[in-house]
Amino acid sequence: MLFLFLVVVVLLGTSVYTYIQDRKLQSVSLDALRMASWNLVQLGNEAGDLDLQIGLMSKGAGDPDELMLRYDILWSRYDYLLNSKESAPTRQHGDNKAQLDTLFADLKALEPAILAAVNSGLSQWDAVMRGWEPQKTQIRNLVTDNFVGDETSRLMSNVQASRNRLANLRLLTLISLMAVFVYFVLALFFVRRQSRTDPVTGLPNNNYLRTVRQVSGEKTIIICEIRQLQLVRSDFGDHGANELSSLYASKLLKELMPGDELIHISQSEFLMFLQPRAEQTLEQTASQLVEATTFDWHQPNSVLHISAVFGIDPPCQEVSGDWSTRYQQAHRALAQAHIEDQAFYINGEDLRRRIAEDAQIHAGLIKFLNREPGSLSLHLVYQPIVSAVDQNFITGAEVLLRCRHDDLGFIPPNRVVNLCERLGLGLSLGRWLFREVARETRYIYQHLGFRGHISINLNPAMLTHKLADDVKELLIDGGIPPSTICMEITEDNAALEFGSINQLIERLKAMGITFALDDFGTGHSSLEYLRELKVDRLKIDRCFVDGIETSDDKARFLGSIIAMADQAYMKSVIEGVENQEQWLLVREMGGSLIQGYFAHKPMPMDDYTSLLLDLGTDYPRDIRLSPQRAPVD
Amino acid sequence: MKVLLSIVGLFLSLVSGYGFAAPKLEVTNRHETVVLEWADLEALPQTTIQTTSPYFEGSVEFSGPTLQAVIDQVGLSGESEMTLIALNDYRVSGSVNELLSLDAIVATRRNGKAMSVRQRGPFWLMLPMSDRPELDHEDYHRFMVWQLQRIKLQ
Repeated sequence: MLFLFLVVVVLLGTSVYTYIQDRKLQSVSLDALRMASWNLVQLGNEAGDLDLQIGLMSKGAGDPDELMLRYDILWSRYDYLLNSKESAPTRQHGDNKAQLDTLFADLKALEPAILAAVNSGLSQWDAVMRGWEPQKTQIRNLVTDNFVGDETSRLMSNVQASRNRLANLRLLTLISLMAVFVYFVLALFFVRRQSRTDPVTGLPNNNYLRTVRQVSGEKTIIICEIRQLQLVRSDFGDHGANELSSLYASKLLKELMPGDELIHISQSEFLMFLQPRAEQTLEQTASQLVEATTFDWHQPNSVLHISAVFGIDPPCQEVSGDWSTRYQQAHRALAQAHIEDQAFYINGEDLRRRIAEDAQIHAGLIKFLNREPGSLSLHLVYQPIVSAVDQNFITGAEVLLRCRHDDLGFIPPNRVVNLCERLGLGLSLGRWLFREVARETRYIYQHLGFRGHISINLNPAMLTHKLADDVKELLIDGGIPPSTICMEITEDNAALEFGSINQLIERLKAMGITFALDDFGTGHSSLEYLRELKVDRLKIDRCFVDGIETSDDKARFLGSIIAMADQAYMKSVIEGVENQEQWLLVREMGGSLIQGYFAHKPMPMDDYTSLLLDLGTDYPRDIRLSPQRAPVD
Repeated sequence: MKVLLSIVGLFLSLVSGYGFAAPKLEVTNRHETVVLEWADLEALPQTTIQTTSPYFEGSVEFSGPTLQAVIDQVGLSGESEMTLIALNDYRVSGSVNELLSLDAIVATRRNGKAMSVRQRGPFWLMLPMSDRPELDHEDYHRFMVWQLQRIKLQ
């Protein structure tokens, strides 16, 4: 900027200087020349006139009146040249004033001789001529050689100087323009380069990424996202986040080999193009990257464990695969790593298929939940929960979701629920399930007088303050007695916040609804959940049942859990009891309710109804509504 | 003898411009020429101009008849161009109408005194530049002919 300013100032200054000089040249020099020429030509003419008269007089042919007139005219010319304002430039030039003074004095000095000659006749004119001749010569010199020539040459040299100034100015302007042009080109180049570089790490940035058109097919594309950056930013501000970014970038840089590229996409994201590693599988490379970039970040008052998630698109067969597709695939891998909570995920055929399937399932779910015909359908099955003491006493059932797709076959319910949660369909799914349960169970509750519980898994999206309204409107008003409704929540769901979850539980409990903690012991949680959550039942996961019949340790462990539930005044529901031995063991341990293949597999509502109607089966009932069967005993 | 001559010369020099024949002013139209003496111009109605000029320092008073009055001495009979001629044969021409529109006078006195040839008299065409500043320009300065000898109308 300063450079440009200086160039403009210099140019302007030079232009102004040139202009002023030329104006001076034009006005002063030309005026002076004209005036000087004019005045001195007049002087010369008038001197010539006098000279003529003196010559005539000296030959006795002159007229004294005419002589004196010419004398006076020349006299007045000197007076004019020496005294008038107009002739100032003329007399100021060189030593003109001195010369003119001398000449004027000489002329005056000549007057007595002239008068004497006029009065005394021819003999005196020699003296006049002697006095006059030098003056004549001097005047001629003054007029011709000295003054006019000098001024003309001065004008010429000034004109030449002006021409040189103009030429210099032109050259200077040209050089300045060139300099400015070069400056701009360099600035542009610099700005472009600068804009493609991250100011913090000095790595190529997102702007550079936009210029990437293709990446060699043999290179691995890796997107890496620092997990804790949001946290760092909130705790240490942008400065801290930048510091971590730089540190992280330096760790990634150490892992690079010649030919690799590292791009800093955003504060938390990096992109790498890696050359194939000799004698190393992609998994090994990824693990090495993870290991190298997992570290403890020491800050003055704390230590933060830093790690990242890597999405990897492996080398492809084509020499240069479609770059944007590969970039997207790397992003997919990153998303998948997040979903699966893995440190890295390598994009492959299964992920591609899975994503395509997810898209199909998603589309099917939307249609199904909108009650439009489609290739996907959801339905419910019921797995009876029986008394540990009496296998034929059905205390209730857990509602389980089943999903079928025309092309994909059966889809695991977890996948459906997770998809719904991820894609914002959780609430619709939950409400559909409530309505469906109420519709299907109407017969057993309204006509059979069944009063066993119905356990419903709550997906996370249902866990809001609207839950009570949904339960009231869809389940209770749908015909299910509140006291039979058992809401199952998982530790992961409840991980939100004890306070708000307990508020929800309290509200629903006031309506007579009970709660069970599902999959106990498998989540990320601790016993704290068991203590804090106000649930009535504990559903002990099948993994604690597996192998109890062969391992005393396992059996004792399960026994402890059941005992603990007992101590906390919770009923325990043991899941996954699959054989007689397990059954007997659980019963010995004091487990109250059992759910598992050994008793009953999940079944459609029709079969469940038939099971209840079976004469060998008993269940809690409302006597007024259950005329079919006389009480035993 | 020499002393005597010197005294005579000195005397003559003091009265120079008077001792010798004083220049007259000729005014010529297509048909005739009128020769006016200094006294003739003095006899005409006098106009006084107080003005500055490039030829002298400060403001000076000039008086004399207007150029119009001088022209009237010979009269116009269709002449449109006027040429002013000085004793040294300097001449300048202009249209009669333009020259008459300048309010010029043919000055015979400067600060109340008659002007000798040495003082650029006896006749000096003078413009009222202080009253009409637009006349203070080179284009008009050239008309301010001193030692005016002839006015020629064509």
